[in-house]
Amino acid sequence: MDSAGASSAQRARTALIFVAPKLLQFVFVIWATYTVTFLLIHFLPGDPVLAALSLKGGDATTTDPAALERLRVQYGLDGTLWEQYFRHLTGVVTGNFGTSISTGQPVSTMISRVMPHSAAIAGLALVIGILLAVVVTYLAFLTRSNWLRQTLMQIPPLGVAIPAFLTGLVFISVFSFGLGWFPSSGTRQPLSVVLPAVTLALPVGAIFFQVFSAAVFEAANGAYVFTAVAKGLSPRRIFTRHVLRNSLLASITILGLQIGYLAGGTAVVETVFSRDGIGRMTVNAVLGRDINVIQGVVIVVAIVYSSVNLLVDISYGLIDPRIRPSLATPKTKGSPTAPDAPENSAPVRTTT
Amino acid sequence: MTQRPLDAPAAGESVDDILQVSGLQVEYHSAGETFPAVRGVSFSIPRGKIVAIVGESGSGKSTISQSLIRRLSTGGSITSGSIVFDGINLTQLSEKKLRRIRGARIGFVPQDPSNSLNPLMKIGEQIAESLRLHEKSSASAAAVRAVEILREVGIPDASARAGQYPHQLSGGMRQRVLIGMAWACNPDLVIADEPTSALDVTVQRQVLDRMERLASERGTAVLLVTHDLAVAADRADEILVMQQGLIVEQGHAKEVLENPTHSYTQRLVAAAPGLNSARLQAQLLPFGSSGPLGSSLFAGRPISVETSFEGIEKIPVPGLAPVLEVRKLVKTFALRTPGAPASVLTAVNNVSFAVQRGQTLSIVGESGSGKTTTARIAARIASADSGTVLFDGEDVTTLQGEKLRQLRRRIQVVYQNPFGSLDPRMTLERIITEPLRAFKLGDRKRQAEAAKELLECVQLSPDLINRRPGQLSGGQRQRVAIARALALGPEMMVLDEPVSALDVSVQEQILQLLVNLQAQFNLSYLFISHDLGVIRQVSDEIVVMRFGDVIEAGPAAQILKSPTQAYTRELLESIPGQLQGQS
Repeated sequence: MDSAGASSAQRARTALIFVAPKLLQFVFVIWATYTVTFLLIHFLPGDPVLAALSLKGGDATTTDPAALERLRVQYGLDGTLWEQYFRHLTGVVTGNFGTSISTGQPVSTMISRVMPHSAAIAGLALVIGILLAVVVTYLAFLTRSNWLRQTLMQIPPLGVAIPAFLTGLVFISVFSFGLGWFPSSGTRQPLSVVLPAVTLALPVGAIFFQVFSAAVFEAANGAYVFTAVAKGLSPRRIFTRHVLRNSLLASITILGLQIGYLAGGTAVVETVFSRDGIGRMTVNAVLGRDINVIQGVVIVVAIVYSSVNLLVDISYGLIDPRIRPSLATPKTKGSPTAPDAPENSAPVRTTT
Repeated sequence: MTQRPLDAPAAGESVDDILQVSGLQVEYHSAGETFPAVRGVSFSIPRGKIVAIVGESGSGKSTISQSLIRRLSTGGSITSGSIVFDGINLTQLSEKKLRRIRGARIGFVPQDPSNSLNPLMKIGEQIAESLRLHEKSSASAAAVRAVEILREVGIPDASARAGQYPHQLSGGMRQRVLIGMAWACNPDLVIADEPTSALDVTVQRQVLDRMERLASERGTAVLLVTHDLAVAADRADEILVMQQGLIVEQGHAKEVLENPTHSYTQRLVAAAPGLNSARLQAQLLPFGSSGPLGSSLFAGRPISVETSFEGIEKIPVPGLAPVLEVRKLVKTFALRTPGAPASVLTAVNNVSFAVQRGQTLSIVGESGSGKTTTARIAARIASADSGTVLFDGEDVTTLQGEKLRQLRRRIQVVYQNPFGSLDPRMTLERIITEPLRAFKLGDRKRQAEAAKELLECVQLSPDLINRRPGQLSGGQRQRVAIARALALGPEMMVLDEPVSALDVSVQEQILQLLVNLQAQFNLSYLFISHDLGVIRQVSDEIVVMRFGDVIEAGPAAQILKSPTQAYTRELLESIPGQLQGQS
């Protein structure tokens, strides 16, 4: 009805209004994470440089105070608390997280080296987990046998109940040592991602399943599914066209939380399969009091987590037309005039 | 069961039925228990005719409509009988073949327009979906046809609307979309399960008109399932009356209404608010069954003990102040939608009225008219932006704390939903005596006695005193809610849609009870309803509201007989039950 130019400008404006507060929130979360970790690390008792040195050279190491001060400058740990706070903050903004105390390498290099390994298993785990959950739910939705449905619904909780180190070990002994299909450890071979990803996929998929299947069966009892049945649609089409998207809406929140968990929660799996990765690096950094690495990892995980949640928030708007900001003014005005008329005057109103 | 022969239409197609149901039985199983919902029902629908199934909730009428497309709710199954649609027995048909009949040859208009459309799909697409499925239309042809269908069901600006989502449409428009969907593939039969019970009366009429026109244009047979006998009377050629899973009466619409033979149908006809119009008169209670409350808890209550209520004209004594008066109430709400400029909704705009002691003032209006907000302000549950509330001549607009609490003794409220307004974990005794405990009136023993008396007052057996709300029917619960409101001996009761969640015959009983109580205790009522049919049974004065404004106000008889405003006339004309005399 209204002209294309006005409509697209308005569309951009609504999109901005929808996204802007969420972007602000995104920045705030990362800043807050940085501040809290910074304070936590600095109020921990003991000197990090000394601790790192004593770990390297044993308890009896004697250190020259001048050399110690040089090391502090090298790792960016000199000066007052405020100076350090702002120096590191600028570092975070520019992507420079300082140097690792234990390895001497820049933290950003270390993170970018191990990141792909973790991302590979986390991403694959997510895909496998979601697929498993959707397939089991789909079968349970289709089956007419009540008994089969109940059985299918009881399987996924096992994924949460069995700890990852146990499934990991079982997988290694069966598929690596027994059948020899997949390598048991390391990151060199491309197939080495499979077993850790599957191990990680089980709890991830199981938790997703709990939320997703509940949403599916709630949707299946809904009135619009009855309408779809009365239209003559097949169960397969009803699932893909009507139930799936409506159920995703409810499950997408848990998906965001799970990706956040995966960003930092790969430690156990990486240890079991002896892989390089964010999780294992974090564990080592904590044990070695390598505070620059700890801080770098925490910031990176916070960025991943916030970005995912930002995407989740935006995808709500894409999936559900009801929570998009309305283009026209709301229908319920005090006047009985028809709400059909397009609001062309809206952009004009804002310019003053 | 009484079956009357049909007058064969002039065309001479005498026994050409599109649907024949015989001996249909449906049961629901849950938690090891079997509940028969439909117990052997036989009927047939002639081609191109409208047949209505009328019954109250639990009569099995919706179960029949669902079993015709073999999609029963969880636990339901057809245990015997046959459903023959155009020579095909649907009970024996494979699921796959049945899918080719659903939507293509049998359309379905569901009950609840707000939830029956997929919220994430554009409405044009939801219609086009069935066209592609059954008519094998191409995507573009289906989209074009979907817009045409929207136009046919009377949606303005159809091509723009087709690209909108259900939440952008009003309830009436959504129901039109569903009607368009049901008729999309030119079915032979459309099942309409309570198609308008969630809509305002004026919208109800437009939607039913549209359905009737489509049916006659296309020669579609319609099975109209409704709880509202008046709707059936207006629209149907034939009526089936159901009670407890059985058809108790069937025949021509006119004959069933004018000459009901079964006692249940007679009761329904008598109870239908659209079909009788007089104000209810207070009935004298059988002597001794429920005398004036003996408990001294009610001492000081003015009890009008006239020997006969009938025939006594209630004339407000001149010079006597009204019990409740509101002056120039205004209430606005700020609407906040992200992205849209903040706007202000004026829910109540400069509303004034006065309720005379011992009389009923009713506010009638459709959803969004501001009637409930007005009532809540009058009862001092919500506060107004400006305006005054006078109770018994005293300004109570800004009462606070203990004084406001004391006011609650004099104004009590009964809500619409008897399922939500009673705590399911309390016994009736605790529910009814809760106000007494709150005001520390009487000791336990006296309170228990009072609870029993109050139950008798609302014509419930005192033996129910230890039951919980879950064990009562909707009508019984509403009686309990009334008893609770009576417990403190109020002078004024605000009744917010007190009967709209109830079945018609129960509505009638509750209204009669309210009228009796009014005479017995000299109560004043502020009665809120969307249903003029109900309003005219109880009101002395009527206020018509729309979009927050008072459209018209005056004595009930005047408003109902000679309304001056077009909107009031429209409301009056929309009351179902008036068309049947004309055709």
